[in-house]
Amino acid sequence: MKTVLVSLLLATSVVAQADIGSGSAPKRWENPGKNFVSPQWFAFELKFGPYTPALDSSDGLNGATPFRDLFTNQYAKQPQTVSPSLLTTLELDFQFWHKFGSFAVAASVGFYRKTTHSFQYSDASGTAPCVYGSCTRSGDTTALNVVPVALMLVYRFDVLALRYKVPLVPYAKLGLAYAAWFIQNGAGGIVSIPKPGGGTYDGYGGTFGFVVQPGLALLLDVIDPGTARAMDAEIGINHTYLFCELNYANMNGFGQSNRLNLSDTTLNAGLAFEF
Amino acid sequence: MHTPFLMRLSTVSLFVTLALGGVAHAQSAGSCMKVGSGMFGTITANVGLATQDPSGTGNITSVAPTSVPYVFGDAECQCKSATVYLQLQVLTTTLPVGATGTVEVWVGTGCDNYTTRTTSNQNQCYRLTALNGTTFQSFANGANNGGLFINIPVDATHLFSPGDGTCPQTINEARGIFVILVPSGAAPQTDYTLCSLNLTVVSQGASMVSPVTQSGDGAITLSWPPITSGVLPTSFQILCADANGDPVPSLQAKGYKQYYSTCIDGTLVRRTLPNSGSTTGVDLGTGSTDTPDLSGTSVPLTGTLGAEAQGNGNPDGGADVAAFAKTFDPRYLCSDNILAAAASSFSTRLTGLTNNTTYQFAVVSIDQYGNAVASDVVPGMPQPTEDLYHRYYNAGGRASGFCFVATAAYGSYESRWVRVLRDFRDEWLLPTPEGRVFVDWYYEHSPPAADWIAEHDTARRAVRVVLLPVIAVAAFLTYVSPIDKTLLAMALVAWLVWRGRRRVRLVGAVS
Repeated sequence: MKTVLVSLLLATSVVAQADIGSGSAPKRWENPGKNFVSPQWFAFELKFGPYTPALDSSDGLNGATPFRDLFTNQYAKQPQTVSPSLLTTLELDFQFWHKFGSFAVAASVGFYRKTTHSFQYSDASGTAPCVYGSCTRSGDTTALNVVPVALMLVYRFDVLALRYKVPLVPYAKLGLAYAAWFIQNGAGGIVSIPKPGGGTYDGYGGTFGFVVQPGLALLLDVIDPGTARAMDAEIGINHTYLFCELNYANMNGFGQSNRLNLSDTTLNAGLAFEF
Repeated sequence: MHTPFLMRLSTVSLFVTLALGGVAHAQSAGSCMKVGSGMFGTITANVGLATQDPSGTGNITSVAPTSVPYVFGDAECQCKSATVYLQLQVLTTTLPVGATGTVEVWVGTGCDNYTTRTTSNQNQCYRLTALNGTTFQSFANGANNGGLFINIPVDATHLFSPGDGTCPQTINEARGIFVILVPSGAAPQTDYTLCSLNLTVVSQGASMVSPVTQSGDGAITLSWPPITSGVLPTSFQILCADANGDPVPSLQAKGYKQYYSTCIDGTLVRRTLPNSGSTTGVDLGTGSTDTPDLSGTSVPLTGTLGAEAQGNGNPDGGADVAAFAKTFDPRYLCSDNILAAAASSFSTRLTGLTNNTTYQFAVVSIDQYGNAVASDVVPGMPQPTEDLYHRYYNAGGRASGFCFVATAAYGSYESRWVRVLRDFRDEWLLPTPEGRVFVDWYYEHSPPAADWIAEHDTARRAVRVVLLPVIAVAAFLTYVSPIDKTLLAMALVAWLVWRGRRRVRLVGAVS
């Protein structure tokens, strides 16, 4: 607590001194030099992309498709595929190397949720699952929630953008991932099914895997270099990017049994800030 | 007796138009005009309705502001508890100061005609005041002018239905109220001056909704579309009953907050809706139902709503509503107040039901005046459902549980990193039901995975790396107080601002 207070006081003091020191002199950060560049250590990304976990490829299903059954229209004339839902991801990079491009370690966390109405059982006792194609929807909903986290190594080839004014930055990410998931029933609770020998199967868990994310970023600084320099000077944001990346997520627990398969190959797009 | 005033016309009629419904929301706008060969000079008048006798003595010195509406609902009508105070102010240039007389107040049609009001039946012209009228004495109104204030309690039910005082069967009917001044010694006059007062009815109760039920696991989801035209409801409430129409005790535990006016066994219970989303009703009258009297025999729901459910289904604000309001039993309430804010549709999941058992439901629309309009009774039967995890399980899937194996990864239960997670478990997970479920599961399922990781060095290293951010978050949540978290955030912002400005100054100094 004391440490925090002292830190806060010091930081506040320094800021105050900076203001006092500037006095009535022109505020130079309002007109930074053309070659001004602040130190750059981090990157932050907010990205979105469609996502459809390969749940029906999970171990033990033997061709059954519970995910497709529930999340598609069973009465459609043509076989249906589950429509993707939005996966929103935040990522923070620590850029520890700036020579020829940059290397960073990155941590990301995302959230995906998809809901639909459950099926009614074919019998009153709730032991006979309905046959796909003749199921009756229940008033209760069910939801699959996935929270994928990843720890990645990132390389950004920003040489062209920074040295030759070609505003494109190809990059690649590779890392370990872990997707926590939980399935909710109509009451919003997590489903629990008694085991024959005691205990329960519970509708939550996690799956390890790995991710590969190659992408291309468009450096937005070129649109308005003056504003970009001002952002760098005022709040330390060095660069702003609009990017699109392929998200190859192999999330099947490395072949481990009894793991929900949450793999997918999809596209992400979003904004990135380096600071 | 020389009474010049009496030699002239001494009758003033005020015509009041009411459009009636389940509830009257009256806003008056009065004006006067001379009719025929009226003998008053210049007349100004003002008429209003008040909820209470302003002075408590029957005397008034001013007329209630006409912009203040008086509201009474159908339940008040049913309970004969809708007394209003008709307030009249008449100023004339010819009424002598100190002149006395009587005031007669009539309701009906054509009551300005002496013959009509004295010979017709009461349903056409009903006398609201006592037989001999209410006496008045004019007061000074400036130089040589006279005037009078009159405050008369009136049973509002007779404004609806003159004579018999029953509640209206239909809406948008018109009534006239005639206030006739008869100076002392004057004979009933046929020559009169007419004042008109228009009262506008705003509401007759919201429309009836048509709910549908969907089966759930021990639950029923009741949904209905919004009401977007006519009188808009301010809220809904749901009534539940079993197959026989009796209350369902397991659903009553949700409380008995009723948000509409009812007349139960002759006792008026008036409630109004709260403001700004509060779910607490405001007791406007007698007989609060926060703790209803549950003794006695309940009325079956089907019977309660029979007039509405079995009738024409037209929520006309008349008999259907009246029948419902008269026989309402709060034991059927099974939902709290559902505010009717703008929404594409409404949906409520009623839980605590038994699968494969039939229940009955109705949705009550409530307008801002406390009028209730019940929907048809709809049946519903909860049934076991197959959610995603059950369908996955039924298909052979067995995935279950997280894979936190910190101990295996870090090699010791006493590792500082494991201790962080243990503290996180104790302070964040165990205090919550969901957290306890997770912890129980973890201790049941994690040993096999932990054993495998402990045997594979590469796996241990990988898991350590993956757990780093988890441990960081756990440490932050567990060890940093809320104040410190706030201070840290402020310090971070301050540091970022300082860093940005400092760099600029440095660059500026170099350039």
